[in-house]
Amino acid sequence: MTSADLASGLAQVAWRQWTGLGVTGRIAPATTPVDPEALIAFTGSLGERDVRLRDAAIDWCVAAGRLVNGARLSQVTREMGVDADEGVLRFVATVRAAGGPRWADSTAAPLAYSGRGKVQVSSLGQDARWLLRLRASVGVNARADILSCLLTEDDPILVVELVRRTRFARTNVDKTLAQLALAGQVELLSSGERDRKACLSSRSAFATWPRPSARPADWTTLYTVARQAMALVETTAAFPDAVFGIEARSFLDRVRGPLGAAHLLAPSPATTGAAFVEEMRVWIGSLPGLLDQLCG
Amino acid sequence: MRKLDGDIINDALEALGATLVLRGLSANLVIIGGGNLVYAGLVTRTVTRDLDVVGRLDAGAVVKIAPMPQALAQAILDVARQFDLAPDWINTGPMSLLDKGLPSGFVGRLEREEYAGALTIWFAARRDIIALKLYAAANPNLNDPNVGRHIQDLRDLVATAEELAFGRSWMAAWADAGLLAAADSVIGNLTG
Repeated sequence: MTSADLASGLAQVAWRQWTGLGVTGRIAPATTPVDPEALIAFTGSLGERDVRLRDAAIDWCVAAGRLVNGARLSQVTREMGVDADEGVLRFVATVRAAGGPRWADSTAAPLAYSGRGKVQVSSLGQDARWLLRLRASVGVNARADILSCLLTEDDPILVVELVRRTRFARTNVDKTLAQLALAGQVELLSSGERDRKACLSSRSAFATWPRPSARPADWTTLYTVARQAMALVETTAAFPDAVFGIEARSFLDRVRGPLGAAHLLAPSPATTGAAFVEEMRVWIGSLPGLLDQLCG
Repeated sequence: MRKLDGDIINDALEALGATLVLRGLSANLVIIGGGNLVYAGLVTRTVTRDLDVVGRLDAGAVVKIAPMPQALAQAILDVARQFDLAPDWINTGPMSLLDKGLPSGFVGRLEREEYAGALTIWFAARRDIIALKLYAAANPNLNDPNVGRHIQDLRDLVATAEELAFGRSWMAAWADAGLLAAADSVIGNLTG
C-alpha cells in the first residue's frame, strides 16, 4: 500500500465521520460517536491530500464549530503531534477567517476557501453527534465529555482514566466531578487519591438519557496511530524493506499501549525479518478498514 | 538469535546505514576482530557473534566512542531486532585497546566501506588483525573461552613469520614479560 492509498483510505473514514456530523456526502455516515476535536485535527493534518474533505469540514466548523472545545482541540492536536502542522494551523485560521469560532491564536494564513454553506446541523439526535448533543445540553466544557464517559460505561471509572479519555487536565476533571457530585449527578467512590472512581448517580437527571448503541472509541488515539502509520509508509517508501521493518518496529513500540487501550491487535514483535515486514504491511493496509468498522 | 555470516553482516550494515539516513544521522566506526575475517571470508569459520568496534576515525586518528551516542545505539538495537541478532551485535568491547595504542601504521591500512551514504565502516587490515589476534591468543586470561578460536583464526590466515613478528613488536611496546613469552609460545606453535 502506498502512502497515497493509505491516506485515501483514512480520508474515507474521516468522510464518514464528517457525514455523520452533518456534512453532505454520498458516503454512509458514521453511526457511532465522533470525537470532533480528533476529527478536526486529523482532517487538518491531511492538508492537500483531500481538498474536498477539508473544505467540507471547514463548512461544518463554520456552521457548528461552537460545539467544538478550543482548549480540548489544542490538547488533542498536541497529543497527535500536529499542533505545529501547517495544515492544521491553516485549517483553524480558515475557520476563523470564514466567520467560525476562534479556537486559537494563530499567525497562519487562511486557505483559499469559499464556503458552500451546505452544512445544516438541525438535529443532534444521531449517535455520531452524541458528544455534541451533550455539549449543547450542558455546555462546551469538561462536564459534557465526563458525562459522555460515565453514561457509556456500566462500571465506575477511575478518575485517572476519565482524565485520559477526556483529555482534560486532572484539576479540571476533579473540579467538575466535585460539582456534579454536589448536584447529585455523580457518585465519587473514594479509596485513595489514585484509585478514586466515579459513576453516574442512580438519581441523576441523566440516568434516563438515551445512550449511543456503541461506546465512544478513543479517536484521538486511533487518529494518532493512523497519522504515524502514514508517516511510516511515507518516510520509508524509498528505502529497502528491512528499513521499513526497523522503523515499523519503532512505530509499534510507540503505539502498542494506545492500540491495546483501543482494543486493536497489532503484529507480534516476536516476528522478525521479512515475515515481520509482510505482517506489518498487511496490518497497515488493513488500518483504514479497521477504523471504518468502528464508524458503525 | 542469528549469528553473523558475511551476507548478514552486509545486509545488516546496509540496513543500519539506511536507517541512519532516514533518521538524519551518520556514523563512522573502526572494526577489528573476527567480524572482519568472516566478512572477508579469510577464515574457515563462517559466522561471528558480533562486530568489535575499537573507536571511530577522527582527523586521521582512531579515537574512543565513549559512550556510544544514544541515537546510534538505538539504531544498532533496532537493526538487531529486525534481523534477530544479538542486541550488542556491534559493540565497543575492545575499545580499551586504544589505551595501549594500535599497531604502527594502523590507520593508513584501514579499508573503507560505505553503507547507504551515512555509515562508514573502517575495517582493520589483515596485518593488524594478525597482530591483534596474536595478543588475544596470548592473553593470559585462561577464562577467555575464545583463545582457541583466536589461534585457529591465525592458522586459517596462514600468518607469516614476518606478520607475527610485526605483531610481537607492537606488543613489545607495552606488554609485560609474561605476555610476551605467551606470544612467543603462540608464534612458536604456529611456525614450528
